[in-house]
Amino acid sequence: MASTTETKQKKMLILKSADNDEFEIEESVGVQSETIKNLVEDGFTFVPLPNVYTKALIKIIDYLKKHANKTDSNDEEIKTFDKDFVNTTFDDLFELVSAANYLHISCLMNMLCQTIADRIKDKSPEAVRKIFHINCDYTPEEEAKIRKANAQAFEGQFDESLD
Amino acid sequence: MEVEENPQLQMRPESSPMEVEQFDRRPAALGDLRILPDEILCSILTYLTPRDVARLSCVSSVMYILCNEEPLWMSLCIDIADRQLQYKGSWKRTALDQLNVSFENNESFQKLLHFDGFNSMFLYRRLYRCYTSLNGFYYDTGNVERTKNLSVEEFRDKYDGQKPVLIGGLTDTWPARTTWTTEELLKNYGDTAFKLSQRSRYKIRMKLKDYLSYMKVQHDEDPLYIFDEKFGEAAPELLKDYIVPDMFKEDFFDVLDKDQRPPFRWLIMGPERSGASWHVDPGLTSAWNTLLCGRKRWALYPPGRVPLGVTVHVNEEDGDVNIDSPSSLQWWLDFYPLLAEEDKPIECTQLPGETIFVPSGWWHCVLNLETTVAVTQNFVNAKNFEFVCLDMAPGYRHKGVCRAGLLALDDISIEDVRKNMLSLESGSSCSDLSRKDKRIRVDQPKGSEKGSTVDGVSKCIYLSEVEFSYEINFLAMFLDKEQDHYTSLWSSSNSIGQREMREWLSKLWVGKPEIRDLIWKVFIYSLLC
Repeated sequence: MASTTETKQKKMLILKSADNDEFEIEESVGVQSETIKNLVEDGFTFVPLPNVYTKALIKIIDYLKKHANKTDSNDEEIKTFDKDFVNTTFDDLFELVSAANYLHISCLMNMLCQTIADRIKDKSPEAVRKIFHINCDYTPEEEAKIRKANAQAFEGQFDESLD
Repeated sequence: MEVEENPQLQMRPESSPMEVEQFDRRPAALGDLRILPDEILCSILTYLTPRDVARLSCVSSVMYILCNEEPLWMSLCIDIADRQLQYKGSWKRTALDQLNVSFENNESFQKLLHFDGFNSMFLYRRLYRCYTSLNGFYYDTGNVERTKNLSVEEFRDKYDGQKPVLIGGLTDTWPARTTWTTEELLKNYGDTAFKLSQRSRYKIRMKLKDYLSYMKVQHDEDPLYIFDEKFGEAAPELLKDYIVPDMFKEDFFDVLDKDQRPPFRWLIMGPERSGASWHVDPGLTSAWNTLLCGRKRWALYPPGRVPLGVTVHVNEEDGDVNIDSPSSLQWWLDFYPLLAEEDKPIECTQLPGETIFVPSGWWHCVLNLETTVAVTQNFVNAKNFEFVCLDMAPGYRHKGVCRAGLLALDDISIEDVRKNMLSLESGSSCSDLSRKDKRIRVDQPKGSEKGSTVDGVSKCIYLSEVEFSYEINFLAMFLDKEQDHYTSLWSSSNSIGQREMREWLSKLWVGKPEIRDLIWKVFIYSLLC
């Protein structure tokens, strides 16, 4: 909560990833993350992020830069950027959502959770198992019971695609 | 993949050495999803439909467990609830009932399957919050002043616009003191539907008898509570059961017609664990809240001081403020214990028959410690009139500053303000500022007189040599000079419309000639800025 920051224009921060890469960004970009903001308010300008790997951090910095420059006129541009941003593999999405969660960037969290949910919805349980390499650990009796209990959810067509 | 090597990201519940050998079904039953902590998995599920969740529960044992969590179904149910809600004993049943899915004859539905070998710290902690005792907050160790037989003058001089206070004795003549118990209310209003607290697409209502039976059986972390500004329409007799105390009688909004006037009075009824999370009252109005039965724990911070765990978002389009806050229960259990002594809020346990006064702009958070029934009213009087009007002025910065203090500003704006203040240095507003600043310090919890504590407090108030002060001349510096009332976007959160605002001021001009000085001042702030 407290802040002792100085009024210089364009203060910079250094973020250090879990694999020890350092990135310099403007403070105003970084503080969109609650985690970073709290550290900045306590006077830190060097921010180690032991839970965020370089690959995810680069993408997230991109995201923060884009969203820090939100104006009335670049709404469409940001929407396109966001769409592109989430158009990636599940592995990447999981890494990003974990990082966004650790960094407390709520708009990014929402977007990533929504994206993952959208890619799961309408799938059959079999498709979900294949996509995520999940072992069905039910006994046949258990599975039959659970299927029966949720029978209504199995009416209609499903998306059997594996992407 | 790198992530898999990082044990932190997996956030698996810690197990003691004894249990290391124990079978863990999580990895196989979640496949690639295992790298996500339970917390994130649970939050992803809330973005799905009930149908999707039901199907996902057929995937594997751990998915089954996560997909049958009651908090998930509560959230799914509230998303789809578009009519009067009747609780069916669990949120899953209630959701399916809302969707007209029959389950009564479905035997396999009746009993949840149990799978061992899955231990989740996240689910455990959530369950703990739902069942833990709140006795620790029961007795008042707080520091809000308690008064009895407070006169109108004393209230005006010592508390109004300055600090919270608990006032006893106001309810002695109220019929509500004896009739506002759940039993009595059930007798007279069982079939009356009241509005519930949840922020959902549709305002959910419940009949009082259904609500009371929900209240008895539920063990929700954030239980629904009745929070109804239309209770006077739903049950007009209730309005006769209480009398607005003299010190709160003045309300400038009462010159507006009934249909133009923003909501100002609420009936509040809720069980243990429920309560409003951290917020500042709408439009910077002040409020009084009288408790008729049960106990409520209150925490308060002065204006501009954002509580731990709370994030204030300022909308870049219209300057509107949105607040992200943990539930009240979660705050008290998980954040409050982390606070250093000097960062603790001003707090108290309100007892039946007591009235608490919450001044304009103050942050507050309430936790019901047992079933409570209360009435609250918000008001605009001579003390907060300017703040309420300032808050309705168009602009990008002032709403954020009123609530989050100078943290709401970027460096360049702070620099502007600093220059602005230097040029005002010889003026009267500066001495005003320091006086107010002292006031904020005085209001800190007891024991804050020592050096280190003052540092803690002043850190929050001083920022780059600019002092935050909840004082009208100070806050008015954050109005945008180029915005004008007639052409600017009218903020959607403002309690009244643009035209109503003008009408309000003109009605006050005619109806309350004694405050014309004030009206002229706010006219300049909010209409001509």
